Amino acid sequence: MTAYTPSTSSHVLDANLGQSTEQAGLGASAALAAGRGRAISAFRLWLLGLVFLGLFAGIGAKIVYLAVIAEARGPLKVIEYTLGGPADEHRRSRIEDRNGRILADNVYRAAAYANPSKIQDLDGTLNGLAQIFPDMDIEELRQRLSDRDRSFVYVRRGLTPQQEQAVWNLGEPGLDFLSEQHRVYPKGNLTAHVVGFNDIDTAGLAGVEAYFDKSLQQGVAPLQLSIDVGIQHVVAEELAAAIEHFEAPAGAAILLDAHTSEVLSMVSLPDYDPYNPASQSQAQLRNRASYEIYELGSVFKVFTLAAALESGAVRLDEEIDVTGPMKIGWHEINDFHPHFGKMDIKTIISKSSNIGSGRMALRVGNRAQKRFLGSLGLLSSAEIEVQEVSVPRYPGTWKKIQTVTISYGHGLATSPLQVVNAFAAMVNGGIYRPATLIKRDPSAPLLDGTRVISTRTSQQVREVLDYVVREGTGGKAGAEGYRVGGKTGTADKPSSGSYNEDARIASFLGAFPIDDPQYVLLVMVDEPLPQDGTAGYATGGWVAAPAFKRIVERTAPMLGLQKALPDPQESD
Amino acid sequence: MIRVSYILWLAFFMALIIALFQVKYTVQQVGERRDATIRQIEETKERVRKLELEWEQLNQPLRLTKLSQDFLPGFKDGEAGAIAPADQIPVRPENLRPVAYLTIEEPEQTFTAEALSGDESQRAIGSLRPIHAPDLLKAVIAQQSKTFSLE
Repeated sequence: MTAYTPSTSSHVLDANLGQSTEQAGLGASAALAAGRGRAISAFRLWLLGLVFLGLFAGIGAKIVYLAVIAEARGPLKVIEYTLGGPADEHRRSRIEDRNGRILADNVYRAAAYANPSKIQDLDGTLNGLAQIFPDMDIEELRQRLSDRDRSFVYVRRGLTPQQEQAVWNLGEPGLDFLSEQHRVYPKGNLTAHVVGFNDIDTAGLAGVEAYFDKSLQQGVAPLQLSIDVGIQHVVAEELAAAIEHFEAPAGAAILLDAHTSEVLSMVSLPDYDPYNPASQSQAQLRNRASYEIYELGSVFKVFTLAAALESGAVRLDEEIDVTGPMKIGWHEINDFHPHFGKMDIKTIISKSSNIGSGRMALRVGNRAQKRFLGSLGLLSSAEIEVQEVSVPRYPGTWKKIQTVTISYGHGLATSPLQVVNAFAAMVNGGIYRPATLIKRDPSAPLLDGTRVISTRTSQQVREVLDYVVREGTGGKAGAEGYRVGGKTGTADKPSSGSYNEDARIASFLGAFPIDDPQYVLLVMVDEPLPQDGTAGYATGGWVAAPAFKRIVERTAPMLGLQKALPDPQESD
Repeated sequence: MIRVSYILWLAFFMALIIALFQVKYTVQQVGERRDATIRQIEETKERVRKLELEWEQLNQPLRLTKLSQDFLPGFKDGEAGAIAPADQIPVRPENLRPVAYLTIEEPEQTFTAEALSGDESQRAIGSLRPIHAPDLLKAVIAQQSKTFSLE
């Protein structure tokens, strides 16, 4: 066993060397050994110096790199990270209209909370809070704050800075604040049925807010809708005027881009206050544009006409016998204004003959009619980006009588949005594209869509719709300076297994400019009443067509449409 | 010689220590300044966000329509002829004078309108009309003070 021997040398190796020197007893050897020892020490010192030098050189190089080279390349990564998205990661995304106008956004606001176990002066605190929040139920709060086992009780959320300061000034150590997100809807009721609303924890409960809830929660880029706030205002104002004038309880109007199917305006009246949906009535909360389903009546004759022309069942220059009543089994079909003898196709649509429409549908056949309506999305729920959509209602057995009634819009209940979406395909050259509330990139190519009718059929449908406004029931839709085409609709509302003649849906479905449709618009008024000057009528031609006219006259310049050139037919 | 090198090394390390000390505290200060700047930027962004929302609130179409009806009786919706290709717009006459302009008066910072006297036919050429900016501005300010504020 070798024992460690203490030595004067500072190192074991030196001690070993000293021992060997002692053993050899030679002075030269000792000097040599001492020289080697010094050399080794010096070598170690240099080595250590070099290691430190290397380390500090590395640090210095990194400093130079960060300060000079990386700085020149751009901001430091840590700053970029802090200033970029991650800081806003938990903020619910903004919702904008197609022009960047804000429809919904989150701001931080204070919420006051209490820790009951730390409250020192309960009565003084409650008195102070009662003065700051006169509407607060102080007794209810007293009960909650008296529970000393609780450590967290909300006092009031969504405080204004003034309220926050006032609560702070109470000086109560048991009160404190949280910073919470608060959803703001700057356009209020105007876009409520489209945008929807959130609960107090900013989770979407209706409209686009609910449909895109998850992606909005992720807080990425703003969600840009296809809605145009200016257009929405005009449509809402004119629809409200029609509803008021005809003492109707409700109505809806939708303006769609005829080619892209972007929804520029979707109005359902009455609307609601998105800040306080819980206190609104069911009538206000019901979305009549996309959720409620209606039998919209004669506007469906447009689809019957298109199906008949497309299938070759009728020609535009053909005449059909419209003498009534038309009997299907024990059912009798009559026209609002009875006609006798034959009538050409244009007149059947422009005079809105149920019998003529029914005969066209019978020629098409029930299977082809059902297939055609299905291809227009009228037999399945709408593919629109709001929570409020519903499934159309149609008969389980689609026989002869159903074919006839559906040809003029009775027996098939769909949402107004689906009808205007299908109508766009009738006038835009024959391509169906599902309606969307999301703004389309104008530089991106159009979606392919589905061809449902030929361009020739679409052209013929436009001719007929033009004729309806010039010569038929849609005369009051004729807008000053613009060529419009469309179809009126007046439908009795279903009631207890039959139809109620005193409760009607009046609508007008049209396109403008009709020679090259860019936009389609549906105006629908629920249960209008006849007024002075409407000759006792409350039909689509009297109620919805004038509103349609005013909306076109006001929105067409906003949409950049030029005034129509004088019509060569009129000048002849 | 070795002792000199020791001193040099010692001096070198001392210098390094001082330099590192300086760098450390400089970095700390810069970090604090950066954090403060980031906080300030976030606060400013939040403030801008609230101002944008207030602006949107003030620009509700219904409110603008009402203000326009009350104070700009000559203003009305665009008409069918309002949109035309550039080549169809008539050339502006050289002698056409403006019918109204706005000035900012110091130090009150209020707008005043002054209608220039001019030929009525010239006024009719454009759709400009003399406007009473002080009244309009007072009304806007009054309305804003009633409007819900996020701040």
